[in-house]
Amino acid sequence: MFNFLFDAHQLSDFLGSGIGLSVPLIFAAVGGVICERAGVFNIALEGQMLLGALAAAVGANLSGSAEVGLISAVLTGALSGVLLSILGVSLRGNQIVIGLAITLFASGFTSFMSRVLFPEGANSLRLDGFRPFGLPLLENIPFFGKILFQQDALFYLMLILVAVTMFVIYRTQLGLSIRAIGENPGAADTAGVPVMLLRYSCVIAGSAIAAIGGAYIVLAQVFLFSDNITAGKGFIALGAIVLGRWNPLFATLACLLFGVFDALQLRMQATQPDIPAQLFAAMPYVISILAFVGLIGLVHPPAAGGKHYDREVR
Amino acid sequence: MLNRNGLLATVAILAGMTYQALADDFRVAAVLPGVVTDKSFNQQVFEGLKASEKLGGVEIAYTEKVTQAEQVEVMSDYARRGYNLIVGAGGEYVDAAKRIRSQFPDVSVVVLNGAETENVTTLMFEHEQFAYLVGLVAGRVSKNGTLAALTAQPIPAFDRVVKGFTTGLHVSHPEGKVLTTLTNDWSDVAKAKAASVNLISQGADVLLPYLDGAYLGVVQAADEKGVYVVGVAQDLAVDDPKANLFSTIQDYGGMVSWSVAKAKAGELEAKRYDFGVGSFPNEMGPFNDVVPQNVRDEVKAAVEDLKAGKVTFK
Repeated sequence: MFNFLFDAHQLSDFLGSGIGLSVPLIFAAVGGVICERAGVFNIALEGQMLLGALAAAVGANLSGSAEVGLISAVLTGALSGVLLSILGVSLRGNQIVIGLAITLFASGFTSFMSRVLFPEGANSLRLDGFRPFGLPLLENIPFFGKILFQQDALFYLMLILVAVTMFVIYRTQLGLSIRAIGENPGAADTAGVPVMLLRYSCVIAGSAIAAIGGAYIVLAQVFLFSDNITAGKGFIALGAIVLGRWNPLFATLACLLFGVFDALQLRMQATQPDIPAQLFAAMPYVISILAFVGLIGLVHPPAAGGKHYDREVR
Repeated sequence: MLNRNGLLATVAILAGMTYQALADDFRVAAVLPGVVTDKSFNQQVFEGLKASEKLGGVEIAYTEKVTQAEQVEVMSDYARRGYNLIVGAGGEYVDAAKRIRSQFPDVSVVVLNGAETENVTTLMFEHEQFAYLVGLVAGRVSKNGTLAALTAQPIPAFDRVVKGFTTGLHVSHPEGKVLTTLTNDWSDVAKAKAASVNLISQGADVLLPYLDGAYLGVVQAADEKGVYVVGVAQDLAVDDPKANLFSTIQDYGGMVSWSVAKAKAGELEAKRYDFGVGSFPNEMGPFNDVVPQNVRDEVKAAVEDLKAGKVTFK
């Protein structure tokens, strides 16, 4: 059953596809962590990924360049972040409802626009995406070099992003302020932290990062757009945020857990036809529940998450 | 005054004509699980619906992305609005179809690919026959006799496909096997691609996708890894003539327009109709150049055997 673990070629194929399945989740989860750390629930991750995916396809198709696709995805994601902030932070709407509304809107809007913009069908596209290239020296590391350092530019971007987010949140003044407005915005405000400005910035940045997750699917994995191409990955990322205890690195590891076990179940299904496939399909979720139970310690979400801040109200 | 009267009269006549047209037209509605641009099953049904308009006196309507929970609602809405024939596109519609028939006995309900159901017209392709032909070709080209088939969820039609595919493979590789994987999502292109890469690394060198929009992930994976795909329902050469080995075409469009014509003539019965190889023209796509002439001849002979009922599936 686990023979493939002892075959270097098969093992690297398996880990490669596990990591590939995780990358879009990681972008979305890191984006979500940034929003939630600042005290804003971002349930719209799925919709923002979908918007990012369509924007990436449109940008890359019109310009012929993957970079332009990436930039348009980032801008579209940021725009959806502006919407979420205005409605959920300034106008104090219910952030859960607004997030769901953005996701539902994105689902219809992207299907509609893809038919308008690609009359031949967006799934006939063959976009010029980001192709893998090896990093000098690092790619020569036996075994892991091939998996981690013969990847595309977006994958490297993801590695940098996770490191930078970790550093900013836990090692800088800015990060302290972000965590403060997620825990107790009143106290932070008293200390002179610009709560609204920072919440807006975090939601816009987080949304843009989530959109890159959608762009990754289009520009690095499948090179085309089709309706509902994100297939619920934004919601899985929400789970990864909780499993990762609102820590960007742990959330990344949670995404890897989902991705690797998803790859594992796909592989085991094929070799074990006698075991019902549904058991395998449930595996990533069973594992995450076990991981959740096994992680001893108090779950401590940002205390001000989803709560509106008004300076005039106690 | 006269003018106004004249105008009123014209309006009245026009309104009368419209009413007449509506009353006389045979009204057909299709209820679809996916979108009509999926270059796959849903689109075929839609094309068939459009084609039946050409019969004259047929008015069409359709609803896309109907979820399991909405089926009864959407179908009974059409029935109330006086549609004569409602097509449920996919075996998952049988339960809804049964309920509609009991509430609106005058409305004909057709379910494509459904299990035989009392009081409902079910139209069914003999999947084994089509899959047998592609299995025959795949087996002749395969180097090691390992093939793979992918679908999203366990459905009876897929089991029939695998049965035919395996029987076809056993003509050339009596010990050969077909690996199967369920991806759990009909439209997740990235996951279908990851699953295919896994199957290829386990030795499968011809893949058969039985998916909606996600089939493109299978085609891409095969192309990138230098193996082949075969299509059982639609011609994959349209997407990728290099990776496509051979495809049979299950003309669901033809099936729909056949049922409209039959229902319009009042000859459609509430029973199961089977469509084997030879039911519709254009049931085969082009062969890949790597398929030798003797195999092409073998397929021709197999078609005659199938029609004569000489092939048994176990």
